[in-house]
This record gives sequence, C-alpha cells and structure tokens, in this order.
Amino acid sequence: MRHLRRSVGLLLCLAPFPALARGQDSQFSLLGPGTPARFESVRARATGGAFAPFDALSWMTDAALVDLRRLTASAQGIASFRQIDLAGTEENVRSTRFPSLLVGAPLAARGRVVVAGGFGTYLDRTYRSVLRDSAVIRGETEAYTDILASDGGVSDIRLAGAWRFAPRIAAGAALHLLAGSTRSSAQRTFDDSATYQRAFEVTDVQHTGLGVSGGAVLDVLPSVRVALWLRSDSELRVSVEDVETARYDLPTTVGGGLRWAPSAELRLAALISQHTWADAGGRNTVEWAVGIEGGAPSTPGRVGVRGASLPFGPAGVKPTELALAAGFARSFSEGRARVDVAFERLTRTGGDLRETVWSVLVGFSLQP
Amino acid sequence: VSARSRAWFVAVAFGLACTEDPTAPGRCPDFCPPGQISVVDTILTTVVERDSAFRGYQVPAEATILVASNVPGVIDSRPVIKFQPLGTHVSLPGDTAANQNPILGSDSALVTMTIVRRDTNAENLRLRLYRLPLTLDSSSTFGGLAGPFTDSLVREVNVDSLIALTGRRDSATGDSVRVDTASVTVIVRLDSTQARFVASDSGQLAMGVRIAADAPTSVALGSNESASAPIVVWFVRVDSVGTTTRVSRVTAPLFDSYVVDPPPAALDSTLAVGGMPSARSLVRIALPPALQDSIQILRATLLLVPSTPARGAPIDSFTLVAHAVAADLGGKSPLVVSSVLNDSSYFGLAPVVVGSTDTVQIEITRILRRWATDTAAPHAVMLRSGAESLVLSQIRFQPSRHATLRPVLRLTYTARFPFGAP
Repeated sequence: MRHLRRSVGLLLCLAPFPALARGQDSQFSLLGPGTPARFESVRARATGGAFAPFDALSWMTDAALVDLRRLTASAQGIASFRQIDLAGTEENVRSTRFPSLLVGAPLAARGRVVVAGGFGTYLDRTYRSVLRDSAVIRGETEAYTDILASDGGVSDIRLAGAWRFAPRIAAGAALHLLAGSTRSSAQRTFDDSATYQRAFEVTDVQHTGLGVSGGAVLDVLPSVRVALWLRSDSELRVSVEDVETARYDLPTTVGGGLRWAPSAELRLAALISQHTWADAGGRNTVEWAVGIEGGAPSTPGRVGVRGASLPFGPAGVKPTELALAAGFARSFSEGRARVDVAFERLTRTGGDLRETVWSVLVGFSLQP
Repeated sequence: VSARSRAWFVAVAFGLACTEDPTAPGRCPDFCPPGQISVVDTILTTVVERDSAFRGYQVPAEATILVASNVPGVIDSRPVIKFQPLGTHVSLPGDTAANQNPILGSDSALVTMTIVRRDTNAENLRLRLYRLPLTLDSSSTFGGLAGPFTDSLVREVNVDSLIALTGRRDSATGDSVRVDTASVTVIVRLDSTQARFVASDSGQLAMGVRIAADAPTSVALGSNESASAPIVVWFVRVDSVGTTTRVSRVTAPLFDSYVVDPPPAALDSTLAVGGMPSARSLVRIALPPALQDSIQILRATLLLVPSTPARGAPIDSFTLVAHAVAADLGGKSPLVVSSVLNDSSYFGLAPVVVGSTDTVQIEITRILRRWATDTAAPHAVMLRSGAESLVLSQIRFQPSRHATLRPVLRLTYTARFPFGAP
C-alpha cells in the first residue's frame, strides 16, 4: 500500500502535463490534420517500434495488456531536436513532450483479465511557420512577415481491457475518446510598420472524435508470438467557438507483428501495419519495424530500425521516414520500478524538404 | 522505491523540463499551414456622416503669439498692444510713503518685442509701430483701427538691417536686436515725442504693429500669454522733493491681440479648420458592424477634399490634426488626452499647404483600432489645426452632404483568419 501511494504520487507529479501530451511534429503535416503519433512506449521505441505489439505499455495492441501481472503505472517524456532543411534553408527547432500516461492492473484471479486507462497523443499540431512575402497594397509593394502558429494537438483518452481466454491466446479491445485543442494564432507584420499596423488573431481550435480498437496475441510456439490488431477511428470534428469548421475521416489501421525469443536473454521482433490516411485527405501509409532486445531482463539493451511512408506532404511527393533507435533499461527495487531510455535518429525526406530529428526518450514505470 | 531511484526520477524529469522553439520557415503552398491572411483594401464612401464645423476655440486676445501678416490680397494681420499705465507718481529709494514723487515727463522709452517665428526668405523685414487710441480692447476691429494705422506711424525698424550691424545695435537711433536660435528680440528706442508721457492718461501707451518685407510674409510676436511678452521701459524725469531725478520703469501689456483683414468668413456647410477665432470640424464615422467585429484594421486613411484652397501666408502652412474625442458633445466635445507623449492612438496628422487644393489624407489607423477595443469610445474625430492660434491659415473641406466630394475612409484590413479550416 505504501508503494502504491508513492507511485500514485509520482504519477500525480505528471498530472499537469496532459495538456502538453503530444508526439513529434513535422513540417510534412502542416497541410493535414496533424502529425500522427506513435503508440509506443519508450521500450518499444528503442527497438524502432518493433516490440510495440507485444508491449503492455504501448498502445498498439490492446491484447498485450494481459502481460501486466500487477498494478502498473507508466509515463514518458521525450525531448526532440529537429533540423529542417527546406531547399537549402536550415532551421533548428526543439520541443519537449510528455506523450503518454497509462495505469493498468489485472482484475480477475490469476490475471486473466486486465484493464487499463490513460491518455496519449493521437495527432500533434504544434508549429510556428514564418513566411516572408509581399503584396501590392494601394499601389505600393509592401513586404511582410506572416507567423502562423499552432500549439496543441489531439489526445487519445483510452479505456482498454484484455482477456486471456486460453493459455496461448489473448484478446483485447479499447475505446478511444479523441479530444484536444490547439491554441492557434495568425500574425502579419509589415516591414513598413509605421504605415501598416500589425494584425494578430488567436483562438482555440477544438477537436473531438471517437475510435475503437481490438486485437489478439497468439503464442504459436513457446518462443514465437504473433500479434494482430485493428483500429478504426471515426471522424475528427474540428470546431472554433462551437462552430464546426472541418471534418476529417480518420484512418483505419491494421497490422501484424511477430516476436521470436530464441533464449531468455534475446528477443527479436518485427511488425508491419497500414493506415488509411487517404480518408483524411492524405495518403495511405505502410510502416515496418525490426528490433532486437537482449541482455538480462533487469538491464536489457535494445536496438531497432523503422521505416514508413508519411500520410501528408506536398502534391506529387511521397515523403518517407527512416528511424534508427537504441536504448536500455534499468530496474530498481526488485523490479517494482523501471526506467527506460531510448535514443532515436529519424530522417524524413520528401521533395526539397529534409527533416532530421534526434530524440531522447525517458520512460518510467512503477509496479508498487 | 529507493532514494537513488527517486533521484533518478526527479533528475530526469527536471532534465526534460519544457523547452520549446517550434519556429521554422514555411513555404507556400507545399509547406504552409492551412489558411492565409487575406488583406482587403476598400474605400468606404458613406461612413463619414453628421459632420459640422464650429468656431471660437481660440481668440486672438488669448493667443500665446501675436500674428503679424502682410500678404496682399490674402491676409493682413496687425498686432495691437495696450500697456499697463505707468501712473503719475513713482516711488524712490528712501521714500517714507509710496508713489509720492510726481513724474514730470519722459526722456525716452525702449519697446521690446520678440519675434518667435519669421520667414527668413522674406528679406528686409520691417516693423512699423503705430500709436493707437487707449480705447483699444477686444472689440476693436481692423476697420475701426484703420485710421490710426494710417496716420499715426511712430517708428519703422528694419530688423534685417539691425541684425547685419556690428554689435547689432544702431548707435544713431538706439535700436538693437538680440538673436538666438529660436527668436529675435527687437528693442526699439522711442524719444519723448514718440513715447509721450501724458499724465492725464496715467502714462498709458497703446501701440499697433504692421510688418513689411520684400515679399509677402508673416511673423509671430510673443504675447502677454507667453514668456516673450512685449514690454516698455520708460525713462522718466521725476520731481524728488524739488530735485529732478531720472529713473526707469517697466510696463507690461494690459491687453494684446491682433486684428485681421479679411475677418474669418461665417461658417457654412463646409468643414472649416483653422483661422482665428479658430474653427474645428467634428466628423463622425459610422463603421458597419460587420467591419467592427470581424476585421483587423491595418491602415485607415481619412480623405478630405478642400472646397477652396487653404488660405494664409505661404509660411503659415500647418498640420491638420484629426483628434479622437472623449465624448461626442458636438462642438464642445472634449479631446482625448493621452498620458503618453505622441500617442498616435488618439490623433492623426497631415500637412496642409497654403494655396493647395490637393486632397488631404490623414492617417487615423490607431484611432480606429482603439475603437475596436474600446466599444464605449465615440466614433468621431475633431479636425483642428495643429497650429491653432499660432497661424491664421484656414482650410475648408467638402462636407458629407456633398454628393461626390464628401469625406471618405480608405480602409485596409485583414478579414477574420479561417482557423480550423482544412
């Protein structure tokens, strides 16, 4: 009980951060509803995401929750440094996020039923674009600078359950409430500021939607596990001052993963999935990942690679991303607490835009 | 959880404390957020309404300067000054009672006037001093003083000649000048016949000033309401217990003003600004509600078409001020006074060139932007001369009742940004 109070206290320390809970933004998604988040814990991220379908703390496969043997709480933080090269013009941006928080616990005897809840990022819409241009006003060419900014995103509030109904098969499902707001602003400043005053507007843009997900994990062999998952999200409704301004059909996701554990200290995993982002005005995407986790369970090391196509980008360009990740973990207090650390180098390319992102992720999980 | 574990947790959590810099260059349309800031430039022809002119905000007798103009066929302005009486007796050191020594007569007097503004392009500036009747007061008119201004010339002084002299003093006449960066002080010596001491008038002196130069010109003399008031230094003979003693005494103006020809025309439907007594025009602006609520004003220009060319001396071109009013009380509308110097959210400025018929464009952007945030502010501006009471120039603009040349508002604004649009 004492441990439980401590863990809850630690998690409450992160309570102010849900409003900041976002993923990692991209210039490629400026024209879409946002940058899709990755439903991965720090552990999975260190393997390029390959272990996400088998990780109870990731959000990819609800059935993986059955691996929670006791009350578990987790949170993570990510610091990203992104270099943007747009046709030779370089800019560096940085951000810090707390993209997810999860609490789960087995309900029934022998841990056959597990429920979990929490929030994570669904779409990130944080950007501050600076645009230089000019216009002819009153017969004169007036140069100006526009700053279009958005701060916020769409969060995924998840209530999930998983049931191991046979020794080698488990299934899970979840309900996802999509909600969030962005603080959006538009500003124009003329070079001739003595003649033309600055224009500035700011408002809150609200987003709402629903989604359901389900999946199963199957131990086809003692050392081989297969995961399958499906997620379908409804429309994302965008509104300003209670007036609907846009509606996006959110994608359906389907995927599968394979994990092979040839020994107690070595695990390999891979996944492939597809997202129908064409429904939202983008392009359907496919992502894949391959990763390895090795070493003692209390201090494992991880490495992985991930590739994907991106749903949004300029017309006629099919941007892609490739990530290399590595990480490690350390358990404390007889496994009741664990810190996961991951490092990732991500490259997104498309047209004359290239983004290079260095990320440091830290995850905390407690099992009081 | 061990102490070391907690330390790990806290250190890392704080290490990830929020740092944010999402600023990046954009390029439309490929890498550009949805929505564009759209700028609209339009001329609103009917928003200026219920305008009217008023006169009498400043009168010559209360002005801080005395305007002397000589622009033939346009304007003739002549300062008039009545000095305080010297009295018939004066006090001397050692007297046991006040004013017990009678003044026997004057030897001379020095009249000091300060030119606070002049046109240096008009050479051979001459000041002509006239003796005026002691009945001079605020009801005196140009026509009523035409006689003394014709036949009572006392002295003429060439200011430019005095400035050119070594030491800037004419030893023959006793006249002199002092010149600094802001003004020219002219000291004119009058003899006993020019500055006559008349005991029955208690030594009171009334004078008028005309100017002349090689070109039409206008100057401003400091008035009694300024720090550069004209004065007279009397040098008088006094009977001090049977002995004639010479002493000096200084008198300041009791009243000063100036008379003008032609007098200001009566107000009509046009929007008069300037002149003396000064005129102002109240202009009300009725912005459509849709514009008030949904736009951000980038630039607002009030365009005024003169009904006649601005009248006045060429040097007396002035600045037109469109001043926000604190309350719409017609001609008595108080102007908004800002605690911030040169706060343009309360006024706009535009030059008015004498003789020009060009449309006057006055920027009132910040006034209109203030109206957008201060919904209680009256949507009206008062047009006035920035040199009110300092120059006699006047301009009249076509009013809102004019079918084609009425005042209009040119507005450049941004429409509401399409937040949330795909």
